[in-house]
Amino acid sequence: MNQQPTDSENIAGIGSTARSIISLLLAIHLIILSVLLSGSLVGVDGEYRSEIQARLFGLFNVYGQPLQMDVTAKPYYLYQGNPLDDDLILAVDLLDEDGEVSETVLLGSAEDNLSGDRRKMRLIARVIASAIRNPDYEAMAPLYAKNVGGFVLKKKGVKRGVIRCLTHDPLRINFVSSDGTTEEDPYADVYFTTHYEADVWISENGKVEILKRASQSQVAPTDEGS
Amino acid sequence: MNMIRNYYQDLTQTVSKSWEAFWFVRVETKTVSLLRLLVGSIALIYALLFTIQLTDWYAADGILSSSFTISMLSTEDNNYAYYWSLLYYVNTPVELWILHSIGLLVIGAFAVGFQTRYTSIAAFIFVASYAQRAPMLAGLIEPLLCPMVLYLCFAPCGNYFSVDAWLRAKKQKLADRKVEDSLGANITLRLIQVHLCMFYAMMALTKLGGYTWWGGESMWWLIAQNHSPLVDLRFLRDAPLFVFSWTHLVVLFELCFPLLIWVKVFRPLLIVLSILHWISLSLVTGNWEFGLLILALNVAFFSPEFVQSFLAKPEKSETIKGKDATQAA
Repeated sequence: MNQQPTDSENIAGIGSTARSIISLLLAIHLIILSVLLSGSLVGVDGEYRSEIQARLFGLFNVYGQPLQMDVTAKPYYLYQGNPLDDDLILAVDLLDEDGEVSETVLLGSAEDNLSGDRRKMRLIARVIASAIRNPDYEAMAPLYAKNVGGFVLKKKGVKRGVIRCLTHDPLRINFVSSDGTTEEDPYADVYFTTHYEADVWISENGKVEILKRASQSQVAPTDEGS
Repeated sequence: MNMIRNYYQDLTQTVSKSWEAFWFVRVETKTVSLLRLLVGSIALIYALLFTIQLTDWYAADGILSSSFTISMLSTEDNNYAYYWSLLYYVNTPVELWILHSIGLLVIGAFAVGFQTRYTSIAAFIFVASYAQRAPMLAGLIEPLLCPMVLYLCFAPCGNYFSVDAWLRAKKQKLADRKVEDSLGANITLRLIQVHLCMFYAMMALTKLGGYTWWGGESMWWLIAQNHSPLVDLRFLRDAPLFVFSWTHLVVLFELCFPLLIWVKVFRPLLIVLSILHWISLSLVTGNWEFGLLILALNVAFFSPEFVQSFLAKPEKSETIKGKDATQAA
């Protein structure tokens, strides 16, 4: 299975000027490719990129990004123990007219039959969870959540719901509970972490609205003395 | 001083000769034609996946409308300013379906090798358009699929295993059906080989940036995910040593591949191991399209003779040279 030339005389198939031009283009392409790939390496504490690499990376992306050669933020490491490496899903609680939960749709989960492509929903959930963790991009989270929430409400013919972005943590390989048994229910509440929660509804003019629910840290303490 | 000059001359001559021998050789086009068939088929599967709820996702009132996607990309940093897509310009369900249908036809024509010179370029434009329509949803496959389709534009990859070859055979007599070796085919194959090796190195090195790969637990964390795996292997919890070994072997294989694939004697072994590696990883991670693509790219390391021995009947070989050509005439 060796890639051999079929005829060694064919090496001189083109002139030296053409060879030089092609060589130059190939060298430029390979240098750009190596910078784009090596500049995308990530560890648990962020990107591993020197200042010079970062500058070259920004410059070469003019070439790499339109050709979709950029691998930034793509999890080729598969798993590194980052908080967002576990499966993320979107849960939408559908509320009836009394405000009670009538149904919960788990988008991106193994049971999701609504979104068609479950992996896309998990990626949207990852985008929301990533945005929440980064103050610069935090404002993007409700925009994505609004679109997804509106999609579910319209599909289900419901006016009101609550959308949550959850990490579904996997079981640990060596987990032993306090009573000495291993936890076997991966759907127990303890395995879900909520990153984002918001009310979503369809207003009278047909527009989708969203309002983030306050997190524990944002709720003002109650006045116990009164 | 002379010694240094001699060394410099020797170095430049050796590098120059090696470079020319690597890139500037004409090769048969069977390998690159088979790659077109495989990569084109995977590109078609990739495009077909966009058919699922196309308008729910990408129409003007969809989850990721064009205007919403563009506004999201423009709020990110300047590195994200160079995306483009034909799909940005269609918004109504009818327009979306028409453009998507054209995209499927073009990529399908490229896969089967119809008007390959033109459809290869058009297929790249469509594949890149799909990939960049919603970059926030791009996964592992896009950064490898798009460059591969682009590289295939530089080679006469419709010479074999294609509708073009079949039509040409119908028109011409047997003796005239000589397919010339191609420099473009060699450059394409070399680009794919080098790109693939760089990708393996990147994947291995980025894994080493995380303690879970050093600690041997990464494969367990992938197996134990609740929604993404295609098969449930959580029973391996009872065999932790197997899981730890699997983790280390994944990294070892990805470190070794880009180095040893160039050594002829290791090549068949690495290709067999890569089949096991990518099938198992695809089942565990759910990234089956990426696994399929990277497996298909192994073909870039096959010689034309090897491809021929598998896919063509020897007595009906299409490249007829010398004495055989005279006899056929």
